[in-house]
Amino acid sequence: MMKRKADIRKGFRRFGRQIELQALALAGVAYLLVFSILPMFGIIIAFKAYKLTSGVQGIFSSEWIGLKYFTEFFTDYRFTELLRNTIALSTLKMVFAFPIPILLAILISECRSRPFKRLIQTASYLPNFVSWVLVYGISNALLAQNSGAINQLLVKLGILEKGIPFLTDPGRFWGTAVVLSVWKSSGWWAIIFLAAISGIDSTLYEAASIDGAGRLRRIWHITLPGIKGSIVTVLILSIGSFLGGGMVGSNFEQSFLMGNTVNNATSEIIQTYAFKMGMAQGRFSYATAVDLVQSLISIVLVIISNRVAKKISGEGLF
Amino acid sequence: MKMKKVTAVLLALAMVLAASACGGKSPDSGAGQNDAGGSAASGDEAKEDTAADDSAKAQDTSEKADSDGTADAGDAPTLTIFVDETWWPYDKWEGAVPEEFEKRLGVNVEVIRAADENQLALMVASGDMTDIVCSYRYQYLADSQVCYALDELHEEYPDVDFEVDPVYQFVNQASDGHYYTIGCGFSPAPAYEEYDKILAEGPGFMYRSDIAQELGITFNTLDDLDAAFEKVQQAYPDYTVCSFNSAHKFNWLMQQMGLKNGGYYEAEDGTLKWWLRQDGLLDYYKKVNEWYRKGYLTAENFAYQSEDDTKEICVGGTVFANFGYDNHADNYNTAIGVNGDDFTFSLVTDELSDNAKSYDFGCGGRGLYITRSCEDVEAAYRLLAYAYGEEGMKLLMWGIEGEDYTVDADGYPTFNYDFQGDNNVLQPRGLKYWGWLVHNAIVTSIAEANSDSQTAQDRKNLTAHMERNPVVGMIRFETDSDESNTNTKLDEMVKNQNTNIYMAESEEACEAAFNAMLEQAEQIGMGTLEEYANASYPDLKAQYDEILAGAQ
Repeated sequence: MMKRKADIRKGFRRFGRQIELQALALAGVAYLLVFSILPMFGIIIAFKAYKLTSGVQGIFSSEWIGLKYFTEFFTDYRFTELLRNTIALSTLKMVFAFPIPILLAILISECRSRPFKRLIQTASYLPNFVSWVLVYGISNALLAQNSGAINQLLVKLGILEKGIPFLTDPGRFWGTAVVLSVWKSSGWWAIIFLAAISGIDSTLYEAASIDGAGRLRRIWHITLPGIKGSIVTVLILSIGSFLGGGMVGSNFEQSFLMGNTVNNATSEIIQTYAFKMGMAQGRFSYATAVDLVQSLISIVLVIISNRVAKKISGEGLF
Repeated sequence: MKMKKVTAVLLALAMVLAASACGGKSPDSGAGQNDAGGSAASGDEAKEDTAADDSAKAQDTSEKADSDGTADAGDAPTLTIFVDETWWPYDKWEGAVPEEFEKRLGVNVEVIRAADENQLALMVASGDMTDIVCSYRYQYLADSQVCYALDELHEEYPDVDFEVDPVYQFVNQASDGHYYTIGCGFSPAPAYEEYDKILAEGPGFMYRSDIAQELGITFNTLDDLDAAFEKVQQAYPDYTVCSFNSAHKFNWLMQQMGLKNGGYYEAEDGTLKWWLRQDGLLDYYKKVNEWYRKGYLTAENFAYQSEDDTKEICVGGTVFANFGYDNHADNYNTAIGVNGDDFTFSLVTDELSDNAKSYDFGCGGRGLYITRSCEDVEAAYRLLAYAYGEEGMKLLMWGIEGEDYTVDADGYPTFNYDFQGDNNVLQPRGLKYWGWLVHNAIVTSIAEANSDSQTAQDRKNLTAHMERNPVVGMIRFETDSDESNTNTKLDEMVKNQNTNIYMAESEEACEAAFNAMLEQAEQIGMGTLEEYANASYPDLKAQYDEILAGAQ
């Protein structure tokens, strides 16, 4: 008993000594609690017949209706299409957007000219600071079938008879979305891998060179294993947000801004559907249920990917 | 070291306080900046008023207003109005007309325009609303938990002169038996009979006058459209032969073909059917598809999401014809004039088919609602009473009598400004658009009776083809009910399928896509919506006729 009291006192004293650090950490915890954990309580409306006219009170007083909205979503005539679009877009982004920053980081690190290296690095991560609304405006000005600068140029040069409908053809939406995502985010993510590369002991490269290893050999045997930890961490985090577009995110923004009635068959994804149902139609309960389904899929994917990563590389997030 | 600790704790505290302040609501937030016509001092005074003495002040100002017809807005209450229309051209309640309104009523009005279409839903759910909301979303607002019922307020404030015609009361009745607003754009049939000249607005079709003259194009039948498009395509290969407005699509063509573009229609046996079942609908789709396949319409146009996109290309001078609304030709011509260009658009003002028909099945659209968040219900109620009255409606829609318009012996106005003019002409004086908050059908239908504009001419011609049935508009769906959800899904499905049909690669593919849409509509529940409507329609119709007969 006495020992426990002493331990508690000791703990408080230690806390007092660390007060400046603890205060900052506690502020973060409080922020997380207020804005992230507590609002999650609202998830219960996915199982309730909540009507927005009943206000905040309605969250508690609405009738429980079980899995009605989940059933409605799974039996919706668009469910298959929405799931297909969400998974296809996310998979394409994962396949193309994940390796490109790694490749870019390696290329930048191997570049010998410092000014050129800086120029490339700056130019590649600048698009990250351009909002998706602007990217949409730029892509419209460049890629629109009749008025887009690229199409007009190609038609005037006689290369094409008429412009390519990048923004209106359902068959081209995924490709356009992936290319724009890669353009916007690769430079930014390359910074993480560049930081990891800079942490690799330079003597390893010197030793490898002395042993006769060429540039590709050094990349394969030193650089890539050296940044393996970063790659696995980023991969697991990406898989966690897989349905949101992975590391380049932006599935919602792209589908919302670049989606239109013409390419809707491929541009409508679960998030935009939930947004339309929840916000535009005022069906908060249904939208919560739809988003909850997506969150559950994401959690399952994180757990699976973490286990797989642990098995393969011995490294995982938890 | 100690200083460092203190700084760290203070910084952390500041962070927490800043974070918690984000969710707070300033007690003055509703009456933020006073942009209304009153002086800055009056705005400040109004902000300092407490909710308790607001009511007394309202009483006081109303007495002043009663005694000499006007009221001093100096110590008047401030009412906030949320306008749930993102396209609204005005951001502020200002100009001579709103100032006159405030002066007559003795209130300050502050308007907040919707930033996006979803703002109202969040306001309703959070219960954080302005005093008055102007919206077409009846399903959110006609609810006793959200807004005050007008019939209850009539009893609470019997001194306020707010007579509401029984027909208006009936058509605006919610499922709980109360009515919460008076929907705009509706007038009972007898009101139309008081005027000889009634103008009916609707979609429009316009074309470039200079090109038409050069190529000898005239529009007398619907077939002339095909001939005209072909000629223009050959003569002006770089032009877009025809564009269409993202909101009004090809509604003009549907109107000419006698088709309804949404909701229910009354079949020959008197039952209500969903519009997708109309005879001749496939012919309409085939016609648009044919134009697309021939290259008269661009794929890009189908992706437009704003009405401004079409206006931009039309005013830019690279489009021959455009499907839009009946006032767009006049409106675009003003913009073309401002740009210094010398071409103009002509509106096809005659109906080009014997089948032409315009359906007005509404019983009122957007309306003013007094919310449960309102801090001065009496002042808000007085505002509604005045704004929905003849004088208030005309002031807000037409302007100040004698200054902006004069009325002839038959009651028709003649304006000394361009009623269809560009916003930069109307806005400084606050003309016309404030009237859209409260107007009945008559105020808009007779507004341009003395005008010789092409918009007015088109509306005069359309009147003969008008079919009105407000009872159909009374069939409403409750929020999140099965019917409401089916209706939403049907609309969404049609919106997406439409482009597949319009842009089909062949006539056969067009027909197949149309049939697929019908099949999908059946699966979603088109039949159940019809059953729902027909369960109440005969009864509502009988009640409506009875009230109308009583009123007559």
